[in-house]
Amino acid sequence: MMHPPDNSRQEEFLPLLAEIENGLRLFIRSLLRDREEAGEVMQRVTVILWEKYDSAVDFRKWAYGVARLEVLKYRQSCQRDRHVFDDAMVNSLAEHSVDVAKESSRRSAELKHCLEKLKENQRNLVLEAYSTCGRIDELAQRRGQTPMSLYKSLHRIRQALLECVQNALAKDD
Amino acid sequence: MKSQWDELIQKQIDGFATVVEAELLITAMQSDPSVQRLYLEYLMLDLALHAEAGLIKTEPMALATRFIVATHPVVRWMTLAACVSVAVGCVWFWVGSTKQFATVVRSVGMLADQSQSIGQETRDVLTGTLELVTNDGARVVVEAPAKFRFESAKRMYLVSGRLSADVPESAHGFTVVTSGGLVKDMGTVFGVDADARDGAEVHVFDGEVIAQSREKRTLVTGDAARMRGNELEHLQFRDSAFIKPDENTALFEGRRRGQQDRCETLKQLYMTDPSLLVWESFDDPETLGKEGNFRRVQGRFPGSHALEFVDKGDYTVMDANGETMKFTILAWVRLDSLPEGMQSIYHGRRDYDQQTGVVHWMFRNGGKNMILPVSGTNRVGVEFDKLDDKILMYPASKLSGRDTVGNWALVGVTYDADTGSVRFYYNGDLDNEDQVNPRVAAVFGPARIGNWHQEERLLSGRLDDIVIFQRVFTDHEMTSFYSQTKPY
Repeated sequence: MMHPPDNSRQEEFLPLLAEIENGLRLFIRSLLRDREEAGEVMQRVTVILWEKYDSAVDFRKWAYGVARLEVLKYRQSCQRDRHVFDDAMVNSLAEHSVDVAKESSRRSAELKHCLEKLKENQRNLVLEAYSTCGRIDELAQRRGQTPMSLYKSLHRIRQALLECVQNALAKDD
Repeated sequence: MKSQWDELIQKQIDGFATVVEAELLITAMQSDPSVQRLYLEYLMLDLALHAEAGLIKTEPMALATRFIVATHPVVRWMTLAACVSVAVGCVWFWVGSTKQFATVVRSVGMLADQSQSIGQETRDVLTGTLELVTNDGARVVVEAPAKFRFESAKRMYLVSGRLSADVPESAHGFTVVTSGGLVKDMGTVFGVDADARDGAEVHVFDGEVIAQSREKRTLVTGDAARMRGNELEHLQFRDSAFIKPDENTALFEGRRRGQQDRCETLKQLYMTDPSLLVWESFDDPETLGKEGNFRRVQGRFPGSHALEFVDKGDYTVMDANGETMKFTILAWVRLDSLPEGMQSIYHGRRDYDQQTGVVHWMFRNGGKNMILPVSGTNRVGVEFDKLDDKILMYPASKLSGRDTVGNWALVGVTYDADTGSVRFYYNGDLDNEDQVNPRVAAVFGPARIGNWHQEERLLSGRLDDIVIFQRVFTDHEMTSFYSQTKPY
């Protein structure tokens, strides 16, 4: 049951959630197969965090624990409970997620610059592929390409984008 | 900074990696933290690109969270809503607003990520269902296709579509406005259908509402009315025509488990089965509406379609064009109610070549002396008819068709002319076996789907797939068909 708005509770909760949200989302995504699954679990985790929030606990640690448990439950309910990652790996992913997500706003800003540096057709391709209904096979058909050649182009563009973002972050450091 | 792992990581993220490739990557990540870091960086890029592409089209709120925090108190609640991000969104058109009246708590089967906070903007729900909670705690399930907007936390304008609302004491007075009139809660659970052919309908599941068009009337549990500007007209109560929170949860879980994908996969497999006579999904508007009266509504999966029959005589037509000594016929149905009498599902036309073996399939009760054997009521039955009425055989199921009311249910029948066996299935389980004699070929010619009689037939509910094979399903295959095609 969703709690009705409660200003003081929200004032405490929301900044805490905002601080860890990107890292938590990344952590959940790293443990699951696709964005859709990760989005579903993130939704569930956020609701649990809101409903069971207790200001006395270490929020980050608790939230990552909840996320881990919810991922596990999700995988089990989907009959995909193979232990892909061991505990050490999960802990490590949690730790690195925090690090990577710390730079998320810078990454987003740099990504915008890097997208601008792309050739127009490359930029259109990657944004279209990621847009609402961007299915690769349909997109390939629209562009008169095979899905495989389109996917390879996309692969190269993403590789270039990541490299561009990494270079920009390294330069700023 | 190219790495040998770039390609494999991207394949893994896109879901294209094979099991062997995934294991290879995991091993590398376990032994080399830099691969793990690269994996996370690609994931971050993937999420950011998704947001970037989404922002250009629909301005989703999710990324805005950190900018909203520490602003206006009302907006902080919006922030929470934004944080509650949904996996599968819909294409709705977001117009920024600083007021927030409700929060999306669950969406099923929509098309894209979107904002979770609902302000004054008009929302188009194109597929799936959207469950939201108003600031006062009213829980509303909106079913696509629908369009709505909030005028305040207590007042919602339903432009089109249907909703169910569970209104607790804290939200007393919650009002749904339609073009036909308005419905004001007086402590209740109710449904509103703004897509009715002539005005809007209100159905009271529990409690009391005030329905108001030109006149005002109090409706209580079990009441239903059509509002059309100047008058309120009594209607047959259709409790099950609306998706409520419990069913929405079940739909959500079913989709999460991949039921829709399973169904599609199975359908593709069966499409190559030479014994398949017809698989009518009612998804292609070109094949619908050529004849008959019905509403086109959401099917058992988000984005799919079903026919809804509401009024007496509502029907459509199909022609499977086949004659066979063996068949399996299956239909997904969701009945609103099952009045006394015979309620048709599939009714081969009597005038079709005046043939023996025209298939009639119906829910019926035992009130008619023409029905044999007579026992029990509202059974799922199949009837082989002949014009001169000299040969009438009415094998029937044991289960009452009333068991299908209010939920999606799979009803199925197999017929084998060699043995005279007619077997009835309900949700994949064998319910009853009956015999017919003489053993004639079954004819699937021009047929009415839904009601064939305008005076006494009243099949009220939705009909999704109708599937006919020219062979007999085994019990195991029937169970499998059910488990692969069920929505929850």
